[in-house]
Amino acid sequence: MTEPATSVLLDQALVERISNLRVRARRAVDGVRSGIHRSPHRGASMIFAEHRDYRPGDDLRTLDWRAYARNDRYTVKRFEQETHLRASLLLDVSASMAYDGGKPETRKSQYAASLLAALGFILLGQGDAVGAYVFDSDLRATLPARSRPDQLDALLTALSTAPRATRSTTTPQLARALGSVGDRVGRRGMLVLASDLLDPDPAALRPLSQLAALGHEVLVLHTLHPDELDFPFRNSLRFEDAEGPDMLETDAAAVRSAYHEEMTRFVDDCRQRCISAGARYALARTDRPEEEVLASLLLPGRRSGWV
Amino acid sequence: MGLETPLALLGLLAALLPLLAHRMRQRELPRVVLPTFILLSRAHARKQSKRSFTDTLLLLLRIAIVTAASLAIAAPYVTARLPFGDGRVAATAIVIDDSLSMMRRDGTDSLLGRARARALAALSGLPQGSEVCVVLAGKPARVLVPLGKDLLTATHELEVLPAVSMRGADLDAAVKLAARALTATRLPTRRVLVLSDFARHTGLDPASLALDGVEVTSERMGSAPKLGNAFVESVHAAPDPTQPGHTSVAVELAQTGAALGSARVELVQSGSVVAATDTTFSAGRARAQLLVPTPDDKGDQVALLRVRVDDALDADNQAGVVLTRADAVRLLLVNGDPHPGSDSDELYYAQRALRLLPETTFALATRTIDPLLLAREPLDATDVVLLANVPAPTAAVAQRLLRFVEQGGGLIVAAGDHVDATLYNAALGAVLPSHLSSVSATSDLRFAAPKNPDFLPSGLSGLRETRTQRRLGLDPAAQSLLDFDDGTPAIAAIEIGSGRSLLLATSLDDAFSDLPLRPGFLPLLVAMIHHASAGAGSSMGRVLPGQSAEVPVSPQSAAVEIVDPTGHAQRFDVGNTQRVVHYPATSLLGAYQVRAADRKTPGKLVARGAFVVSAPREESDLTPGPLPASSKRNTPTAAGSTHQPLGTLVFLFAGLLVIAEGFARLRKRA
Repeated sequence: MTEPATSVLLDQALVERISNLRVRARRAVDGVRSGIHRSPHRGASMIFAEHRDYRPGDDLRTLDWRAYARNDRYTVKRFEQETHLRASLLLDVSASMAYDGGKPETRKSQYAASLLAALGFILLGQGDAVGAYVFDSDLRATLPARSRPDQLDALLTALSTAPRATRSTTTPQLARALGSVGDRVGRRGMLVLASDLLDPDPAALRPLSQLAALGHEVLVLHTLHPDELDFPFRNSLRFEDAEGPDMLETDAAAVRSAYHEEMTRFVDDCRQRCISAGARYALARTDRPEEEVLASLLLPGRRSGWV
Repeated sequence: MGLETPLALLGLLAALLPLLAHRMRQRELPRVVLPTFILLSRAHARKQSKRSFTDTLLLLLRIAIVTAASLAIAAPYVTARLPFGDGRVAATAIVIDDSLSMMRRDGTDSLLGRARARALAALSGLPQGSEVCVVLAGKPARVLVPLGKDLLTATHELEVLPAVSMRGADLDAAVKLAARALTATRLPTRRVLVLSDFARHTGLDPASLALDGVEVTSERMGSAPKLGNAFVESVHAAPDPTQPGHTSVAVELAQTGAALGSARVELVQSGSVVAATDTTFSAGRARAQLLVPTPDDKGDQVALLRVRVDDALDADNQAGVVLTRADAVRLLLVNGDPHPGSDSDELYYAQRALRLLPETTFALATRTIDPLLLAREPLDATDVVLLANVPAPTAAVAQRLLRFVEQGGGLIVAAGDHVDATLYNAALGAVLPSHLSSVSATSDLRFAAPKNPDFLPSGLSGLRETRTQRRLGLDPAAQSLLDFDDGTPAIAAIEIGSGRSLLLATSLDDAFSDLPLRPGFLPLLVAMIHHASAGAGSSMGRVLPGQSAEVPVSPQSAAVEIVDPTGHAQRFDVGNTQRVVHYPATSLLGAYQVRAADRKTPGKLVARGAFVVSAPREESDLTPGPLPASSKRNTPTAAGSTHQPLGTLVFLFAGLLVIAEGFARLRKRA
């Protein structure tokens, strides 16, 4: 009897390790139901926002009589509205995400899916709506955001979409996929992108700034395999491009230092682009426990790896 | 160049192994699908040029290692031409001409330097077990390194061989010396290598090179000189009668070879040029005259004559000059003739004869006084007093003469009409060598053969033909230096104290005999003065470089110091009976000053003469002579060859390549 794919992404042990985590949006988000997240609309919550002069039509319940008694001016008190969150989880399943370095448990796409599944589990537990978009060069699976009880199962099914093939001849088009997702997510919410961001297009991350400008809180989980970061290869090898026909024969030791420089430059560039776009960035090594990555995301005092 | 084991070169095929390994590794590389390929390709592009170079270097190094190892196993060698000989163990005598003509520069080195370098090269090519000796051909020929197997010592001796030599050449004697040295060897092969300029003056007898059982090789050092060569023919210094207090130095230059133009003649004293003049060669000769102040007793009595001319040999362009003869015998002539200056003057013949005496033979400083002045004459500055027909002196003068002789002075009494035997016996009996009898007539009495050849050397023609008509009677028992043929003394002598006294039975003029008219008169006169002065003042003749100078010393001298042209002094203690000091260090051209200390004041040295070491004139003729034929088996072109193995060097080279390959690998990994 084979284990269901969903249990691979979110097993009981992981559920127990993340059981005390909560997700709070840092930015105000739009929601139709009340929840734990800040809303851009002023409402009847207990959180004071500001004073402003009374204007005809304002609800008289918001008039601050104490202020009127002190300075003989009509002012109203404004309170923040708390709402529920619409979170969209974006999973990159391009061919480059299929790399596992010979260890299936460190496969990038699976690790990224586990991170998103755990995040979805937490959000759904908070009553937030969670949807998913799985893409490579195009959208391959779409799950609209809902907060129904059966949404977790649908989410895990959608996130279990595997990459197409080990090697692909199609050029990754991250920008197009993000654009498609942006068109679909609708009102302000949270977007969590799990990807290796390996796209030769310099404008690949430009949609992130557009999404942030629309009011979305964007989180980027830059998922990389330890082999990609450390380049532990030895001797002369024939390296082949995971997403193209190119190949290269070289001595791994001879290019290691230069590769490290290129990788550092690449990671720094990605981090800088995300920050410039108003997104939050985290480097997720696939040999790192998922709860650590999520804890650094969700707990205010543990921000290791998050920006 | 060749290989001892050429088959080992098959190992060169192994040089293909790195190429094949390189190709095989490229074909079977493990595949890795890398998502970050784009980053890798960028890194690879940056490293590409460096890596390609390292890979190529590694490949070449590995091929070179295999090639070098194969080559080393093949035992390569180079064929080296031996500098001398055929590589067999042999006894070799190297004759180096270190004469003056070898000081000629040819290119950047002198001929002597070239000969030394050639000898060192020949030594380096001799195999172990060889025997070698080195003979120098500068006169006198001498052995520098005795025959032996110690090649290192021979090499060292050659390396420290003085680069300057002013000697004459004696190649014949040197070759004979070399041949004699080779007779001591037991090795069957014997060789002689003669290194010389073989100038015409060497006059090497070809027959001297025909040595039985010895291979002789003659090698000429340098090429024929392009310039002519000037040299100092003669230098004569004499007081200038026209310039009182000045000495005239007459210089005669000669030349050989191509005609020379002008020359500048300089006289140098204590490093400074005191006189100079220009002269021009005409018909191979040039003359110059220099005038310098006559040095006093404390001044520098010698000088160096230097000729500045663009010629082939510079070493012979100098000569020593003795400006004053401090060693001249100071002869005080006491003229007993009542009419001095006339033809019948007692000293008429003697003075004229002594004036002809060459200074190079015997130096005399004569002064003539009247007998009446003898009483006041200070005898401290006199070596010999000659009383020529002088009436018997007073007792006081006689006492002074006795004391003078006892302290080392010389006294000569010549007979004459004024010599009264009775008065002389009374006044000078204590200092005379014989009791005198009155003058008596004889009938053409002649001299007998000289008893003492040192006193009168043979070859004095005419002396024994002298006819004596009158003579002063001498005691037959007296010590005689020369007898009449009737057995009676003609010249009696005696040593009194440190001095000597002589008595001539006849007169110095023609009143008693025809002696003054005979050719032997001057030699006899000089012999008497020389004997009376105990050898002082006699010339050392012409001293050549390398010859031992015989420096005469007076009986009063306790020590002699000789100062060479460079100022280096050497002191010799003189024994009581020693009359000659042998001075061998005559390697430099120039004037050597002699100083002497009297026994009374041994610490005070005073100038007592000088001698000149002159360049051998024949050495100035640089015209190349014929090159003696070498033995057929050992001509320079027939020199042997030897194999110099290179295997070890190639192995070392391969080791260096292995180290370099290791560094290249480390560089690639880094």
